[in-house]
Amino acid sequence: MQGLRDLEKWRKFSYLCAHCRCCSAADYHTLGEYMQICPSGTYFGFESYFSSGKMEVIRGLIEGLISKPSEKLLEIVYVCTLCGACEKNCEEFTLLGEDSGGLTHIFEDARAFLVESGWGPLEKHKEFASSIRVNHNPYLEPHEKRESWTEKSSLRKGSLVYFTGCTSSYRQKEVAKATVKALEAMEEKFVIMGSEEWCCGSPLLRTGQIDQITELAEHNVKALKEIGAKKVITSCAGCYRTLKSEYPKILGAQPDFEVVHSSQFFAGALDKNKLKLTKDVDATVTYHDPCHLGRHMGVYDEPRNLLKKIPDLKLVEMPRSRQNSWCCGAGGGVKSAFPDFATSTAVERLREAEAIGVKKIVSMCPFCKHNLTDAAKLLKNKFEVYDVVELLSKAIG
Amino acid sequence: MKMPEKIILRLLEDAVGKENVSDDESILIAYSRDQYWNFVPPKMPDYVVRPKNTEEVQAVMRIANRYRIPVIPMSSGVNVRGLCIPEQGGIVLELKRMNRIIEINKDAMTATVEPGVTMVEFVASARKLGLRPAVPGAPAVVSPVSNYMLRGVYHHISSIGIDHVLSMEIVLPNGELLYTGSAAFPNIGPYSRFGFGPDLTGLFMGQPGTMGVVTKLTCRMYPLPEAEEWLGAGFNDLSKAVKFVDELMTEKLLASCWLLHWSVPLITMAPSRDLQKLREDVLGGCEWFINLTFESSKGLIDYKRKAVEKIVQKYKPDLIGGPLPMEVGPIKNEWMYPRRIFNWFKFGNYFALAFWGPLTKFEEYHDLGLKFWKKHGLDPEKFSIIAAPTEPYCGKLSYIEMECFYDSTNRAEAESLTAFTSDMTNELIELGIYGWFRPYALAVKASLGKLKGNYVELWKKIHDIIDPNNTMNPGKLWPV
Ligand SMILES: Cc1cc2nc3c(=O)[nH]c(=O)nc-3n(C[C@@H](O)[C@H](O)[C@H](O)COP(=O)(O)OP(=O)(O)OC[C@H]3O[C@@H](n4cnc5c(N)ncnc54)[C@H](O)[C@@H]3O)c2cc1C
Ligand code: SF4
Ligand code: SF4
Repeated sequence: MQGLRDLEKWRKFSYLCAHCRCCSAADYHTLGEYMQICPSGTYFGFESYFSSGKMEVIRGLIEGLISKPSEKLLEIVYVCTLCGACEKNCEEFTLLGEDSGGLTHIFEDARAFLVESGWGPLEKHKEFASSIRVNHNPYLEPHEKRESWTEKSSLRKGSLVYFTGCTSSYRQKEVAKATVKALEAMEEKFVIMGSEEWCCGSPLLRTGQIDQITELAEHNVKALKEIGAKKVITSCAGCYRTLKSEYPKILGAQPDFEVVHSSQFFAGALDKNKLKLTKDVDATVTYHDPCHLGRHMGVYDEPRNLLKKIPDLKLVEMPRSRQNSWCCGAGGGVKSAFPDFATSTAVERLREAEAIGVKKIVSMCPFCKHNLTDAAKLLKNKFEVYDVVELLSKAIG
Repeated sequence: MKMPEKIILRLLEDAVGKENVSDDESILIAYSRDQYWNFVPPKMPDYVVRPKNTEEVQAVMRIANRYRIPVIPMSSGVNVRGLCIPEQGGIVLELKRMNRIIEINKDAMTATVEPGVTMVEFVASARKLGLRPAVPGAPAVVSPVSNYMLRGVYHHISSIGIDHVLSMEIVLPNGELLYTGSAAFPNIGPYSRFGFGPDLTGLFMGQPGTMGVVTKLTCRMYPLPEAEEWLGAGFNDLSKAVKFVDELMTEKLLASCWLLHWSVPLITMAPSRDLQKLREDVLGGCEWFINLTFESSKGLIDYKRKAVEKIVQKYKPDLIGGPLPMEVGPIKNEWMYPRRIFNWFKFGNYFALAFWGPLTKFEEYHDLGLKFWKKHGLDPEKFSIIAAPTEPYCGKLSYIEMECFYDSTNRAEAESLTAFTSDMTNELIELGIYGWFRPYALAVKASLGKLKGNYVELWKKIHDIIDPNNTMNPGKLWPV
């Protein structure tokens, strides 16, 4: 069985986990205090929800010690946001972390194994997988509405392409609009893919539903090629990671276009004076690192540099930032399958912002914004949640 | 009385809430194995139960006692001896939800904590008051309660000894409460080790969860030093190195003074896996490394450094300088609440055989260890041994650890290490040691019949009075 074969390769690593539990805490030498770092372990408590325990669960699956797909098993495997916080702590100190190339890859393979064995995924995951098949987006929205956020006609030829992503197209349209406004202010010629854009496949990859993924990657790459793409900009941190780092692995070849996240693109534009910020944005904000952008892709500075260049804007850091960032709680299929847990994780993030006296939280991923906004609603809207590009567009005027 | 498992489950759920109990194999499996799995084979508990307070612990203990269910208390589960792996199934009583720092009392120089508190949390809170607790050289996510209760080794400040506990609140196996020291007296704080009569605090220490559950622990606190400095010394001649450390300890000039095989500081502190290169670059190829820690006021440190300088002149180390092999910034953090310590696991897994003995026997321990290491076909390049002389330095008290990193996926190497441990446990008693570090079945087994008088028998009898139904971590200490 393919799934088991993929999991089997992690057997050795499951034997290497030292159960030192250093993956459960943010780097206390940097922070000067103890703060939890694993959302699923912190919320559910039992060891299996931490990465150290999950390594034992994976050993149990490989060695056949876990014999049935209990509700708990599925919860343990699927409630992890794949945020990578554990992985960053582990890789610094242990053979498991350093040689495995990342704990989250092991956790993703465990999900693929559950899917292969017919034990997974969860109902909500099946639902979005079938929506992606039919509608090319996970939100059960008709494909025709993908462009409803814009008046701009799509599908001209061009070398600079804005890959809007499903969340910005259907749920966080302001992010897409702000991105377009900033691109127009640069007087850059760019195109949007419109109806030729399909879900990048990130939700499927993260939930172990890998059967559709090659088709999606092939479609998107072909469509981008036909448009004449040389540079592809994404708003979503998940799209960025998938296009840039997963597509070459899935397709076995490097597509002949460059993938950049909007933070990188606009930071570069500001550096080269191609974009002018003329309006003051009088606000104190804190930046939330999206896991896909920060820990998984190493992009920490560009969003901060953008914020620092916005006139009158003050950036204050939360204790858990960069590598030590506390996940917003939405990733890895968690938002759809465990909405309460996802919101509770985001509430903790907002409370962290509040503790440093900041009520405006900025991220650079529409999916983070989506979840943090839900948490803000729960807290009776005491908080304002933005994407960096929205503040950027305010500064453009 | 045998009760159907589902009824036990319901009773436990009534005691601590449904969401804090599980008998699901995907939960249990995470408690079946720890870092020491090659030596203590994996075994699943039947239940994991997570109480929030003393009353809930009492309720669980009553159920366990009534239905004769084994209970394995667990504070952090980071111990490196398989001490929380159930021998006979039962309940793993995971205490991480009991995570209150109840008090840090600057006037009394004490603190009271629950078992779910982590060392890092404790250190960070104490630091705000200009205090610090004793800090083991373990990852600072460990619990001070379990660590102190087992008496640890505090290498950063071995000048404060091994025992920091003043009093405890303990839930006995039958669910009743015991307060030790002044904690038993009304109208006063738990700040004194000695109430009246025997030292009941001491009686309950050094037990791998076999006498009850510690639910609160009051310990000594220490002032944060005004200044800290480090010096490294390298030797090729072990005999000279031991004498050097002995004289430094006798003069009481240092906060700590550890004698380490060259690989240990590099494994735990240095950033690269290329140890031999680091040995040349950082330690000038020396075989033995001594880390000298100074703590006090700056003026006093200057005075102590002068006195140390005279001893340095006398023994003429092959290398002197430092702090080595780390920079001051990281070493300060590491001393305050270790994190890099688990660099160890970059080289595989961690094996250790640890005991207490006089520093002056260190060379004999080394020679014996190496002899048996080779006898069991283990790689001599990987054999390391360290000594941590500890206050009170009466009897030249020293923590000694034979250790190595090893490939835990290699069964043959693990089997050789098991055979080595078994031989050495007997051989060390023959050669002469003060005692074992941490209680575990193999050490007890080797000591049965060898110790003079009634030591082990009396200990067992006391245990049987307190835990007549043998529900507390059965098999972990006494053969069943
Ligand atoms: C790399 C590394 C280096 C280390 N270096 C040191 C060092 O320098 N010094 C040192 O002292 N230690 C050191 N340790 C060990 C230290 O981490 C542990 O604190 C110690 O072994 C106890 O383990 P624990 O705190 O995780 O307790 P646990 O694993 O939770 O428990 C250990 C034992 O105590 C019992 N127990 C736990 N809690 C209670 C309770 N509340 N009531 C009754 N019984 C209880 C358990 O049943 C078990 O038998 C090191 C560990 C590692 C991984
Ligand atoms: S840090 Fe790595 S080795 Fe240590 S417990 Fe976590 S996963 Fe295991
Ligand atoms: S990836 Fe994140 S949620 Fe998952 S185990 Fe690691 S720290 Fe926890």
